[in-house]
Amino acid sequence: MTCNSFSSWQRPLAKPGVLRPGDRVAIVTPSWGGSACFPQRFEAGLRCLVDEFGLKPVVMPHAKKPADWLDQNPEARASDLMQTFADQEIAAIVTSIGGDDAIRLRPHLDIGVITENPKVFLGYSDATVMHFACLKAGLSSFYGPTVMASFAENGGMHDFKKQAIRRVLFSAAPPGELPRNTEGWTDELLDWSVPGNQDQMRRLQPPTFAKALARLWRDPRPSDRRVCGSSGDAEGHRPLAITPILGRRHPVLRDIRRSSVTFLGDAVDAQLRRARHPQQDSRNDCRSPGRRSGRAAG
Amino acid sequence: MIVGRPGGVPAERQDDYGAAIANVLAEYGADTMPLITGMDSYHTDPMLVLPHGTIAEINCGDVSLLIVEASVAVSPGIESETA
Repeated sequence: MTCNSFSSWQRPLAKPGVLRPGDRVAIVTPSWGGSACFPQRFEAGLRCLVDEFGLKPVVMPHAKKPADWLDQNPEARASDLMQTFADQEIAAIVTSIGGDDAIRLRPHLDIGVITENPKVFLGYSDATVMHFACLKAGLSSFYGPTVMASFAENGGMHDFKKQAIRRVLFSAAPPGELPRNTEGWTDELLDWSVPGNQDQMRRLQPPTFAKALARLWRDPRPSDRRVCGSSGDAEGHRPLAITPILGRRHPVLRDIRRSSVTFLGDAVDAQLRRARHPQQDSRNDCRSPGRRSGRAAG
Repeated sequence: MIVGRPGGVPAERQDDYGAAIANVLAEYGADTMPLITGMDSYHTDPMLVLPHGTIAEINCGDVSLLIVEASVAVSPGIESETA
């Protein structure tokens, strides 16, 4: 593979307008209806949008419908999304939380409406489906916090994340080098149904961003195999600079069992099972997403 | 390839998770592809905000990631300033 092989899908995407305090931000629920299951968690996320960023949340008509109702009405979820893109008074769209079936919105999305109305779309996990819709529409969207799984952080949002949001969404200057996370990280799941947990900070693990690769996979051997021209090339491809490093297989690789990666396969299998046997679906209940899947919310 | 944290993988097994990805890359003959793991994205908090389709610069030496192109614009649209 060469850099040129990327050129078929490389195209400039439209950038949304920079966010400013006072902007109206629409809250949509394209996936799991967690907002009705854990309303206090949802409200905590809205408060963060207001208190930390000065935004004005506009909760869309179906964003707080019961989870089982949203499960049965993907077209209503899509309708909220289309309405937010079309509304000139809305500057940004933030998802409530992830889930696992936003793909069902696809038949009800009008990609042209997204193309005609570039604005910030923010979310992660199952919102990836919507990110692909934005990509198809030619709009640059943003992989990051959701209302419930990140803006509503227990005990308040971490400074690292506040910085990241301000630098990427609230400034029209290139973000430059992304801030280092020196606080540490967590995916600890504190039960959202337990009163009091909202104010209890989750336990942080030591930060790792610079560590894992350097120890396991850093390879000092020079290689130009993956270097794409740092100043563009004769055919006008845009600059993409990558320092080639990876190469040597670490001894532990030989000991990795297939079980280490099966959760990805499990997720796909689960999707297929639901598609084939929707009546057995247990998605429309109010157990927290972490408990449903054994993984963190999203 | 840059990967974040998947959620549900204990801290002491994060390196195993990265190694599993490296293993699969090798299976596909991509064992020289630069790979950064443990980035603060995906099912982890605090998380970054990453603009899709924006030019970035990756340095595997000190494991840094720079977004060299503006992610939002004063006026929405395709034209942009690049640093």
